[in-house]
Amino acid sequence: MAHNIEFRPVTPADWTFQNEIEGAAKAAFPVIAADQIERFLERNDIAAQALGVRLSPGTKVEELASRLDQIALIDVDFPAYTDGRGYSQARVLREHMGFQGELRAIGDVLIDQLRFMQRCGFDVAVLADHVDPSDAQAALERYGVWYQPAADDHPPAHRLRRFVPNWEI
Amino acid sequence: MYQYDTYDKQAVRERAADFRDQVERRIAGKLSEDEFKPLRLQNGLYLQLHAYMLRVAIPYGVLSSKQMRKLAHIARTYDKDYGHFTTRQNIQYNWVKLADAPDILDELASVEMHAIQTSGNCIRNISSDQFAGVAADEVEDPRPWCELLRQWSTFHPEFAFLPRKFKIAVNASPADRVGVKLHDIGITITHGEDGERRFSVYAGGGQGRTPMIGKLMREDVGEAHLLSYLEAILRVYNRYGRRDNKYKARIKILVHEMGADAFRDDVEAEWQKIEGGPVDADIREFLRIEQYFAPPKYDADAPSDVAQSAQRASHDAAYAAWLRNNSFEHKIPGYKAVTISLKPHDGIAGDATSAQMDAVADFADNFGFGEVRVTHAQNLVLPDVAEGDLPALYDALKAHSLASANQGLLTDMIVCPGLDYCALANARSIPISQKIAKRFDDLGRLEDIGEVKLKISGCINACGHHHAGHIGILGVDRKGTENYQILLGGSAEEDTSLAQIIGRGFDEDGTVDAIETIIDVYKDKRGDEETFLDTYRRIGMQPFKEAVYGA
Repeated sequence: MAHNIEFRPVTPADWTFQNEIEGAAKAAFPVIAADQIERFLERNDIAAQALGVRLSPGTKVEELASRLDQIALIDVDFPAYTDGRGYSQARVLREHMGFQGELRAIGDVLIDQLRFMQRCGFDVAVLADHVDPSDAQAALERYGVWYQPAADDHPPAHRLRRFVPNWEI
Repeated sequence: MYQYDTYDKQAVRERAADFRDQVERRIAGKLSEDEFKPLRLQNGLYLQLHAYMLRVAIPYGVLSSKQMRKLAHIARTYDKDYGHFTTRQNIQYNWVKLADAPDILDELASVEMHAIQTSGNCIRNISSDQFAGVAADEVEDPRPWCELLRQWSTFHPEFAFLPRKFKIAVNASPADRVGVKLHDIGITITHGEDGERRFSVYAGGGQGRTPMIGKLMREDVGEAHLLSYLEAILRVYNRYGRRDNKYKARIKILVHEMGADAFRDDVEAEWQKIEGGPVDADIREFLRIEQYFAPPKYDADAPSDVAQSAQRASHDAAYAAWLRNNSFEHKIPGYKAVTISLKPHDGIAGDATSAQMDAVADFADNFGFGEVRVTHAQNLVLPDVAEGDLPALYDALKAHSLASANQGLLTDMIVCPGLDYCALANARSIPISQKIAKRFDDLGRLEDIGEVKLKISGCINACGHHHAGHIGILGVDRKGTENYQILLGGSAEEDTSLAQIIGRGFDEDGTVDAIETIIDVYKDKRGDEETFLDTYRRIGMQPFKEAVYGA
């Protein structure tokens, strides 16, 4: 089965993607397509404890602005690892729009991309079935130096240099 | 030049260790070629026609003599004793074995080098002026800014999977020696009348299948806000650049389809949100980097020692021609920057043997301050040669077949690897370049013709910059045979223009004949002091066309 790798602790929940609005209304932790959110919120029979939304790479995240406080989870889909739009979606959600909920990477997630996802503000990535979580964790820990600030709290090298200029390795 | 500190060393060592692990998994069969491909492409390792090719980054074309010796060692130990210097100021090794690639990265890391982001759809090696720091006409040394951009772009988490590759060039002279308007982003540093440093930023230029001239986005980006402005451009491109067709995925297509004004507006809106924010590095980081580029200790007595060079030139015509063509005005009196032509008439443009690389490293130590530059025209430069040393340097270069005096002349061609190496090529580029060199194998004749930038690509991807050639040659596959189209009138300099196709193509020999005819038209029609490009711009395509195809 698929494993999640957590970059930051998240509250566990049984999130399930719902194709149909009817099903979503009945589910405790539904995830719906981003373009279904208005139709979903119009309903008066919602049983959900929390709402998740799935983005496609073409989703303009700014369009979710007015609903952001009603969304607990955003799934950012990488249909192919080569499609890097999800990284910008994540940063815009975190840094421009102040999204505080859970941000999860799904789709064609390669272990060598995890460190980029972590830096762009994701909390969780869903690994492909055949990926060994320990390989994923090792890939994530392999790199310690970053040159630029991003959506995480990893200090860039130029800031570290102010405090610890040089040491021998 | 820049020296790695602990953080930089750690970054390249981590990458080398990561790649070793990936290669071991590939060789053990734990990774398929499909799974391995995105990993090796992050490390500059391509699968070419006959073998793996490893592209090594030479940031903004600057090398120490120690690094050059390491490149020679790699050529000797892991390749067929040579390497190929590229138009992005990098070096490629064409015959690398997969199992050796991790060792090569370790060797590189030991001299503060790497192959990071030399391939893949990410921000590639930052390119700059080969005369940076020594050119008499520059407003400042652009290299510290290049290094700042190198660090900002290295492992950038948001921009590792852009729609397509992304190339940035930085220039700091009124003369454009980097092709500012033919890059995804081109930057020119200027100093205002108030003494303030400003950046002119162009976006959406490029060559390839659909050549376009970059559009000016802003000419007043302040030094404290350059990174946020670039990040805004990249973010807009990453979000909205086309991904449905790789041939329409470069930023130039987005800028063209949106229109430069609409694109600029989107960038402005993004910039407003991040300008002055964390990405705009502490200016102290720039000052830290800048220290590494402090001028070397030039000899104040150098100007008093120029007589013997003049004397040699007065009785040695070959030396005089080399001095005329291959030396460049230095900002310090008594010094010259010297171009070492990698275009011998019987050779391959940009190739150097390990012995030549070692020799150049020695010359850099003996006739300079241990520094070498790589040019986008596939030559090398010794940036700081005292004029009194020029005769000795010339003799030393000659002993290593490195004294070709053709810099800037017709046979100083840019030539892509073509079908001899490249999996994308439609036609060979190297043989036609050699035939042209043979046809024009007379320095007196070449000097009479004067400055001509001849650029040859073996397919429409334009790695040989044919759109930017005063004369461009484009190899195509015409029903299974190699055919060459000729273009005229391009320029990658401050007067950027795109070359236009003259008409139907030729076979190899027909192309060489046509080039000679075109040169004859120029010689016939040129006015006083007119270069080839001047004449073409004055008289247009028609006279050339008539001469080549008949009236």
